[in-house]
Amino acid sequence: MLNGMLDRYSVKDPYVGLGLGLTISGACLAPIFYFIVESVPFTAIAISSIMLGLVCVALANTRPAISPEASQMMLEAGMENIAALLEELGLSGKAIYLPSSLRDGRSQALVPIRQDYSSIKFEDRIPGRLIVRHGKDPQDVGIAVATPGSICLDGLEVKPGPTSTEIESALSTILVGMLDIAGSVSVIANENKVKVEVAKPKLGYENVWFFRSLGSPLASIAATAVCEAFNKPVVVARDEYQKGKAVIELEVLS
Amino acid sequence: MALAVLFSVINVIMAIGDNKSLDAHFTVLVIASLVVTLLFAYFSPKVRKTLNALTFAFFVGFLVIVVLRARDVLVGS
Repeated sequence: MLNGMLDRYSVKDPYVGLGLGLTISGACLAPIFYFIVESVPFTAIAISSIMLGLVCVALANTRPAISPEASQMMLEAGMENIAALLEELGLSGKAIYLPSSLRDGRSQALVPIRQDYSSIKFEDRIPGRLIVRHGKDPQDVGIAVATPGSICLDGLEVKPGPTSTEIESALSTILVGMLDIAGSVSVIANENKVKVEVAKPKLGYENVWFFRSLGSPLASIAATAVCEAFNKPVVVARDEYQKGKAVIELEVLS
Repeated sequence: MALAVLFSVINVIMAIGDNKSLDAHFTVLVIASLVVTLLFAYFSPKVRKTLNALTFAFFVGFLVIVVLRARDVLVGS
């Protein structure tokens, strides 16, 4: 039975190994300490070892199924492909993050031909294609791409509401809990401006075409969460990395 | 890590306090684990579910102790 458990959870995972070790040793020692040694403090240590072991086994689920190196490789490959596409098409305008209600069920980023995003209005749902037309003018064309934020939002149980607290909670769950790429998140929402401060970010900003257009991965995730929260298109207005924190300003378009 | 440190501190303090009741030890450990797992609220939904189940199991253990104590009091009276 123990072999089956070890195979199932793969002892290579240090959390599972540690958890099983603590639980089994605690379970063996507790009756010895209580009935033979008759020491309550030692029995309490054995019980705390069992509890700690069970929590360790539960925490093993936080570890990713694939290695961080593999994840990074896939992220970079995806980013390079999108960057190549943007450069080839000469799209240097800022991406507009669209909520799922304006796309086919999943929020995406639209990189328009127009440089001035303030003149762009979205009246109807945009078709779920790569090259999309978002208006009647011949210039109203762009490409719609999935971003890291689009996929991350699927992990949330509840869609965030348009208040600072709800957005902050959603972003903390994604950036701190799910992805572990930041220390903490604070959000200040003021009318159509949302300021997001991410402390201790583990992903930096690079002055490359992809980041200038779509924003850094952190900004992309923040923009996706905010566009879903407000159910309106959002643009990354400012994406700066200062000492130990990232400052992201988002503009909610009407 | 936080839980390991907290459990060690609790066990040492209760041992110094010469507490002979295993119930008291277990109750304090359960409370500590509840507080710590609630403080780290940003786990993924899957982990959250598992931890909630675990917390529930600890809480059932705590309730058993309460019921046994209540029975002792009632029988004693």
